[in-house]
Amino acid sequence: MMKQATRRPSRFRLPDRSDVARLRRAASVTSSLFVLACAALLSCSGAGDQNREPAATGERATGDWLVFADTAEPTTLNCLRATERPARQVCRLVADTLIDFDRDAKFIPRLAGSFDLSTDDTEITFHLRKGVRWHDGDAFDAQDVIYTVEQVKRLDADQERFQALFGPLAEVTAPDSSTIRAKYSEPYADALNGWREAFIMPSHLPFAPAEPSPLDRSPVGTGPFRFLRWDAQDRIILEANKDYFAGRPLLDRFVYRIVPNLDAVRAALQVQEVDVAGLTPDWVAEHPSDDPNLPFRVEVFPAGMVEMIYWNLDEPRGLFKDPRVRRALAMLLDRQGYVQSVHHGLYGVATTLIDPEIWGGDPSLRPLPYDPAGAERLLDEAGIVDKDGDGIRDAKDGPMSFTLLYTSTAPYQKDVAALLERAAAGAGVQVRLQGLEWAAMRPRIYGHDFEAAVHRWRLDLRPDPYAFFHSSQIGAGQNLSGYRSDAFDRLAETMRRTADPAQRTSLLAAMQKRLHEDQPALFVSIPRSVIAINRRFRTPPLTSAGWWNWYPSVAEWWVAAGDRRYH
Amino acid sequence: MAGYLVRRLLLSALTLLMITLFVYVAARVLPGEPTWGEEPQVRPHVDAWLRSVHATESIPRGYAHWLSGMMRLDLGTSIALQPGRRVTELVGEAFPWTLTLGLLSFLTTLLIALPLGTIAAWRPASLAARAGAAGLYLLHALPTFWIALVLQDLLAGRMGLLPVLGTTAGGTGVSPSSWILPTLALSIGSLAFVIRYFRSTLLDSAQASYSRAARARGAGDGRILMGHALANTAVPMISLLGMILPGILGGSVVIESIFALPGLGRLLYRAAAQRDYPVVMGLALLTATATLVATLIADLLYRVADPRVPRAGEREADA
Repeated sequence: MMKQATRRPSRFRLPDRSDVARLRRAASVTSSLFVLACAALLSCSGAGDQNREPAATGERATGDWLVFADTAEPTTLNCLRATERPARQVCRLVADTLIDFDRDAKFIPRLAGSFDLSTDDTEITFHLRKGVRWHDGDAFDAQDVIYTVEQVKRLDADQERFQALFGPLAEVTAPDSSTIRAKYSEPYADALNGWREAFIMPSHLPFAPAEPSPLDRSPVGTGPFRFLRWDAQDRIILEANKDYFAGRPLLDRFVYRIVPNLDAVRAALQVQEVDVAGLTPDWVAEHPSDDPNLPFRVEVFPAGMVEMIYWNLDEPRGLFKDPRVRRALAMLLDRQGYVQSVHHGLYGVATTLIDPEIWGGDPSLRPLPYDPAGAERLLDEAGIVDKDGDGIRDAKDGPMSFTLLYTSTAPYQKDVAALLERAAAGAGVQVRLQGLEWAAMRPRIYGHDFEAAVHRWRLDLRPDPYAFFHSSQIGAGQNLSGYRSDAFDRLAETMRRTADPAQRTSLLAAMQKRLHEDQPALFVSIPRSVIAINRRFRTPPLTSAGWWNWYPSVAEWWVAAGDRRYH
Repeated sequence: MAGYLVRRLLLSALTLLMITLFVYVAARVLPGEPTWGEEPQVRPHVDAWLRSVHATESIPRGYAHWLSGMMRLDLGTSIALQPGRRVTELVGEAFPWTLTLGLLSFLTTLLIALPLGTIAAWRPASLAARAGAAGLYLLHALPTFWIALVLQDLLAGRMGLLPVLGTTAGGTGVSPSSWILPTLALSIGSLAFVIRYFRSTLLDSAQASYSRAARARGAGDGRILMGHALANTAVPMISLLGMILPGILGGSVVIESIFALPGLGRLLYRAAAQRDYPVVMGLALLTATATLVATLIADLLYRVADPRVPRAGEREADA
């Protein structure tokens, strides 16, 4: 995901984002002027030579490092505990899953050499690769898979993680040391998804789920890279696993650098201290991506995210109960204008939960139009009119006025919130804004203690709206709106039991149509990841799956001998 | 002297206790909860973990638990940044970076400030001294982060003269040149203050009775400044050291963030943002202890540098 640096306060005051951006621009202009004045020095910099494209020819060879920079640091490298993106990004290289996605988001074998699904979708048989060894030299076998599943069960008392990964998994057995049989209590079409997310852990290095373990800091896996070192707040270094079952990766090392400041990331990309990193749409708008003077190329991927404004449908005054009100609020927000002006057109306008560019997206659905007059008519129809002449419409139990929460440290959320505030004010709806840090925001939205909230969700490459809008997911789950729809529930449940791809696609389309009509949340935008990749890296064609969240991804990257930077 | 030391140590211990209590209460009553990372989808088994490390106890019980651990030199474990890691480990890893940067910055500041302060005091009414003072005010007024960004963008990003990232070059290892920009950025902010402080101290000394006596004996400006006034700046400079030392040990969030230095300032910012109470407490303890120790050392050094400084209690006896 393209991650925005948390803006750091100065020691004098806490500037907001616009202040900081203004000062940064001023800093940039100042240094530009200085650079112009030092033309002689500039002419000696030789940037053009450094930034030349790698030679077109070259043998596919081993060597060199990839230095990736990110603003976030993993909390743990225990791949079973790891749920957040930075940790999973490292785990995808150190550990293996039984199966994975290829670059087209199709399931392929990984640690399992092959797998079979039973005809009734209640059983999967994995045929494990033989001769695979853990990074510490022990042999991998079926017991490691059994142990992993048992550990996931023990992770939390409510088995929330187990449910998210394996759903109705009833039993996992090992008929022999290289076969795993997973039986489900009912047909479960998403079963493969869970196995793609579950990193297999070494059973010979057991740990207690609620206690610290050496694996938290130094993971042992079977993956293409082995863990070498983690310097807190600075970097994680992985080195090529020369004994990897699929052959050693072509790069010698993968270095994950933690750089909290996006300006530093950009400068480091420019001088090639960093090879791969995320950029913001602002940067892309200001620089032509095919600029030959840049030592990196720029790729834009679907971020696998959706930006929404949740309405709390259980809010005591019932402000958002009526779908017409929710539709009206959506029609008040100029989402096209927002993605154009704030994201320079790189982000898409969201129609529902799923990006139309990835699997399951429905390009035939159109976003609700930006139509303030139509929105006001809908509010009138819903009986939300200004009864006391104070300029604010009145709902059944008082004025149509609510607080919209946003995460103050998250990128762009304040922009969305402010846009809705202004648009709603013009239609007689009062929106009060409240920015909270994520640490304060999280308990509010998960505790259902809000009226409306801007929020972003990360979705899988094969997203399932069940987790976000099925009525069973209210409370402990991710249905933060409290949306209840029997029709949607039936569709979501049927899809979970349906393995046929064509039927699943049509069910997913029906679910999105339902969400589009009911608008349980205001679907704002579909973020994109903007990734800079140093030109010396030869990569296989990159697709909408992105650059790392599939297999073998980085393990296939290579650098021609003449272009190597690190030895 | 021994009685004085004991009294000061007891007072320092009490102050430390009050500071840690205040920080603990403030950290716990802030809205929010420990979060593992900033990813929206994180729903880990945080609650069970927090219970197991006593992070969900009431504030009095939680503080008592922290205090009893602290007495055994056990500051607990991180509950959000890197759950399960000892706070002492996290602080211990970050401390050398902050200490190195702080000391480099301190030395750089002194190396530049002392000669410039002396020159400024030499002819305080001259045009050069006034222009220098105006320049220093301007430097003092610029935000540290702005100075850091300009230096980084100019000297590293555009000219490529120095590494962009603070501690390492290209992820390969520690490079001495990596320290130059963060040191400069941190020093420039305090340079103006120290020069002004040193200059006014020198001028005060130059106007003191011993300087007037020296002048009456025929000593020139240079002799008075270097031979008499300079030696008498020791006490004020000890005060300055006492003021600066806690800042050196506390780290700089801004500089450490801009140059990606894995120091204490960044650690504190992240710990506070993610509500990692044990780490916040560990850092508060370190900073508070550094402040108290620095103050105590400064007080003791006063007596060494100037025997006329009375001890506490002596004044009453004299009266």
